[in-house]
Amino acid sequence: MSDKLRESISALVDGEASEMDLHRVLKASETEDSVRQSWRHYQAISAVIKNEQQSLLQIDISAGVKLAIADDKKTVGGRISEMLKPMMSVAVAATVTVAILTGTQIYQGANGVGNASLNEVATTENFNSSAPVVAGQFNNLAIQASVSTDVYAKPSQAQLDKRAYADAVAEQRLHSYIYRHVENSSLSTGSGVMPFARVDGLTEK
Amino acid sequence: MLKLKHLAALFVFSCLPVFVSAQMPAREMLDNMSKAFRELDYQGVFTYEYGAEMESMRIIHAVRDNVEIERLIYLNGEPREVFRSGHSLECVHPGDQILRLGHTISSGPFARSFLQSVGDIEDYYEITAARGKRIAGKMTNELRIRPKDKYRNGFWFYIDEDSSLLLKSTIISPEGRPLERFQFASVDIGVEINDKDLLSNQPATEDSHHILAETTPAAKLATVEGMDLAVTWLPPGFTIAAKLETNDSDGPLRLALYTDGLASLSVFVEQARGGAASNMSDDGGRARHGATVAYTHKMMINDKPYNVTVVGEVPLFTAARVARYVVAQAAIN
Repeated sequence: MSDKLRESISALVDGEASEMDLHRVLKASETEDSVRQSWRHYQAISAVIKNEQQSLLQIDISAGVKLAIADDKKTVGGRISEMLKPMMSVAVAATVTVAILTGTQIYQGANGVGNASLNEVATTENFNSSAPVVAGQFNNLAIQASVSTDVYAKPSQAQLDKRAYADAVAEQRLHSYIYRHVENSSLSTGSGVMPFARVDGLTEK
Repeated sequence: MLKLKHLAALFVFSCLPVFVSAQMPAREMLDNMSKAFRELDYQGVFTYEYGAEMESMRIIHAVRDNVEIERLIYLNGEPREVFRSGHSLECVHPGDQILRLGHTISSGPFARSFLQSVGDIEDYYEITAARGKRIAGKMTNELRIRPKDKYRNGFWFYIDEDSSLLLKSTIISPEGRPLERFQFASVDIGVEINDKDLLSNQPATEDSHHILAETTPAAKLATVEGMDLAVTWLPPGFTIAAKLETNDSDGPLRLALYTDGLASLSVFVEQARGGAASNMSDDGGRARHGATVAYTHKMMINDKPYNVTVVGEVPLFTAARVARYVVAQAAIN
């Protein structure tokens, strides 16, 4: 493994990775198993340094991130048009015009794919680290370290991969469905256009 | 786009704000709040906070000729805005209906059948009122809305004493954790809004649609692969508010929105893309952003993989439960 790659992994763990770092790590992770190992080691070190209760030690989200990136590439360009595509409603009662207006193409501009992907990494991480199932897993490791009996069935790496992957899919679905959800709920819950504020945080970065 | 020149200087208000003094019952405050948002003219700047993030936005809302015109302008990042017009005040949606006292506002047969099926918001939430603090320079009444079951979040509302406009709202998780917060920094209520402020100078891509579900209380969501999809469990008090089908490049997408008047959740059903379904754990996937959560899992419909996703401002537990109670059964017709 090159020093450059090692640096990129370290930067990713520290949340200081550039788009270049992210792509370097993801690309290398396809062929080099050591990348995944290093990722976990750095996470463990980082967790110790930060004295965290929970860490992503057992979570490999690279598959999920790749999925998110692939999906982002596919949808980013068409996101506005997709959002604004005419919908067939069951019953049309009246006509309300909703328009998203942008000065520049924010969804596909400089802040597009790379940063959106980094953001997904961060969000997925945060969510995983607070998910009860991950906490349980980490406690489980602690139990194993001190007591030889394995009290709980330990999920396999493959199961955890699938879980992380499923969470990445959920994150991606949230991004692509939020506009439609908000559009309907803003008409239905009597809070004006305010719920549209929720769309912003999900699409801007 | 509404022709503003024809409507200039027309101020046809069907309902002027109800000015109240001292303490009014909590339920009445909620009722007035739901009307104020739609019926008043106001403009101001508010912040939206979730997690460690904060966004600022400017909102302009006016009623011209009994029709709402709204602009939400994002003040951070790239210039962009949401513009909405054409929503008539007479068009009252299910969520509004639940919040309004005695369900007095009728909007035809839809409302009537709807009212028979839905109870009152107080069946699901405990609402208490107190004198609130000063927000955006205005005295407020505070409403604390606690869910009576574990299926929904709580709300803290600060409502302008004079106009009943909501000035600050916080969504609280069942564990008591704040999930997101809207708060006006400054707001002008009941002032005349210039026509030019109701026009956007941004290039527009427009769309026109207005979705109102049919009155059928049946939980049938859609027919997919020759099977009827039904949502067989919802938290008590949730009722259908919108239902539609769209055709994306990835194939048809079915969705339905349900609300209890304060919270809402959408159910989406879409054919699974690529290996998405098979690589997912059977336990499904979860994501959260502020008060909004998403739960997704795979479902086989006539041997074809579909993703069933629930997005909403509800606890993750609720979203997962609703998604798991979407079932496919042989089509009846």
